[in-house]
Amino acid sequence: VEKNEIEIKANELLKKSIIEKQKLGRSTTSVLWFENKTIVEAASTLANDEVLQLNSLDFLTAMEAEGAVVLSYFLVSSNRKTLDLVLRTSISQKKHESKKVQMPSVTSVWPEARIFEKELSEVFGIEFVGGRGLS
Amino acid sequence: MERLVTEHSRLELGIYHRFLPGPFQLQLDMDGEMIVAGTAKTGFTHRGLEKAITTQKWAASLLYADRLDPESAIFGEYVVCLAVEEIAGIAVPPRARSIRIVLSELARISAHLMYFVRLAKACSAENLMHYALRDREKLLDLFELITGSRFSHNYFRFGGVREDITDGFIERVLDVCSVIEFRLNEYSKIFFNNSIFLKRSVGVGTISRELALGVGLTGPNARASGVFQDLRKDQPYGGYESVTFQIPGGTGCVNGRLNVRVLEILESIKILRQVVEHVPAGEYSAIKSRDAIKVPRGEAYARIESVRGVLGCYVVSSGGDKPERVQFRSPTSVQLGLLSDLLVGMRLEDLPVVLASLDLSLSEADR
Repeated sequence: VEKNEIEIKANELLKKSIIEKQKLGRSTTSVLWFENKTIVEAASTLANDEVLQLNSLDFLTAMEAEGAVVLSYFLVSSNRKTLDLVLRTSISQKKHESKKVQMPSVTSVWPEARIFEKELSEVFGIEFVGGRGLS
Repeated sequence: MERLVTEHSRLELGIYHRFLPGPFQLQLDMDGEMIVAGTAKTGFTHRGLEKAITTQKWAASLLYADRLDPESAIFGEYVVCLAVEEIAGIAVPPRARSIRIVLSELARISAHLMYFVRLAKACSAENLMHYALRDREKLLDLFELITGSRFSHNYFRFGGVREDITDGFIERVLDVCSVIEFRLNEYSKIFFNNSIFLKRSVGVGTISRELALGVGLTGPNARASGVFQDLRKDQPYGGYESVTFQIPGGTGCVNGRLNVRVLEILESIKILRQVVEHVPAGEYSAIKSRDAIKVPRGEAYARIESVRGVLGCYVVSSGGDKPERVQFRSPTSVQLGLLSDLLVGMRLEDLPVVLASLDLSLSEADR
C-alpha cells in the first residue's frame, strides 16, 4: 500500500476527518484530524480494515496549543511494520477547573495504549474513560 | 481430603532491593510462594527530563538526551538528532552516518554485555559477571578514545558528529569484535550451557507472542517471543539500509531472551565489520558551528532501534531557539506495562531471574 493510498483510504473510512496539509516533519507520514468523541470508532475502523490493517499504536503524545490539548496517535501496521498514519484530535482544557477533561480510551482496540494514556493522564490531567487503563 | 484455605499475603519489594533493576516498587499478592497478582510502581527517578530540554537551547538538548539511559546514552542522542534533522531538513554526510552506526552497534554490544552481568548476578554466577564486566571495559575504552568519555558521550551533533574518528580507531574496533566473538564461546561454556542455569531459565518467565503484541513490546524481548520486528530492517534509518544482518528469534522464556542477545551481539559484529572497513571519506558534520543550528517551525517523530527496543522522540519546534515540546517513547515504559500479566502464576524464587532477563532501564522509563 502506498503512503498516499493510506491517506485517501483512511479519509474515506473516517467520515468527517480532515487531512492536515502539512505532513509530519519532512517525511511522507499523513496526519488526519477527527472529532475526539469518535476516537474508539475510528481506531476500530482503521485496525480492522483489511487493506490498512493499522492494528498497532506505536505512540500517543499530547501538547498544549491555544487553550486545548492536541493528542496525536502514531499508527503502525504490524504487517508493513512502518509508521503509516497519525490521527490527531483536540480537547479543550479550561484553566482553574477542578474537573478533569475526559477522553475515550482506545485500549479496547490498541491495548498497548495503556501505558501512554497513563503518562498523559499524569502530565495533562486527562481522564481516559471506558478502557482497561493502568492504575 | 480437607484443603487448607488461607488469605493471600502482600509482599512489597523495593523501592531499593538487590534484585530490582532500579528504584521501583513491586507490590505482590502471594499465595504461599506463588504470585497471584502484581503491580509495579514507578516514578522514583523522575527528573523532568522532557520539560528540562524545553528550557534549554537546541544544542543543549543532546546533553539531556544523553541522560535518558546512561547505559546506552548514544541512542538518546541519536533519536533526538534524527527528529531535529527531519524538522530542519539537514542532510547528514555519509561519513557521519557510518560513524553513528559504528557507535550505535558498539553501544548495543556494551549494553548486552551488561545484560549478561545482571542475569549472572541474579543467578549468583559471579564468574560470568566478572568476565562480562572485564570485556565491556574494552568497549568503554573505544568510547573514551572516540568521544572522550566512557559514559554520557555527548558526541552526536545535529548534522553529524562532534569529532572525526582518530587514526587506529577502525583497527581497534575490529580487534574488539574478534575478542568479543571469542569470549562469547567462553561464556557459552561456563554459563549459557550450564545445567543449573538452564534449569533456572528454560521455560521460566515466558512471554507469549500474543502478550508481546498485546502490550506493544519491541526489541530483543519481543523478538525472543517471535515478534520479528527490527526498525533497522523494517524502516531503515541513518544508513542501515545498506548493511546485511539477520533478526534472531527465541523461545520467549528467560533462556530465549538471553540467546537472542547473544545472537544480536554476533549480528552487531557483522554490521561493524561491514561498516568500519568502508567508512566513506568526507565531512563528519554538515554543520560546523554549534550555535549555527536554526530549527524552523515544525514537528517530527523519529524512531530508532535502541538496545531495548523502539525508542521514539517527538519534537515540536515553534521556530525559536528552544524546543517547544519533546517527548520520548521509551521501550522500558512499555515493558513495565507487561509486568502485571507476566508475574501472575510465577514463583517468587524465579522473580530475580525474570526481572533481570527483561532488561529494564528505570532511568529511561521515569525520565
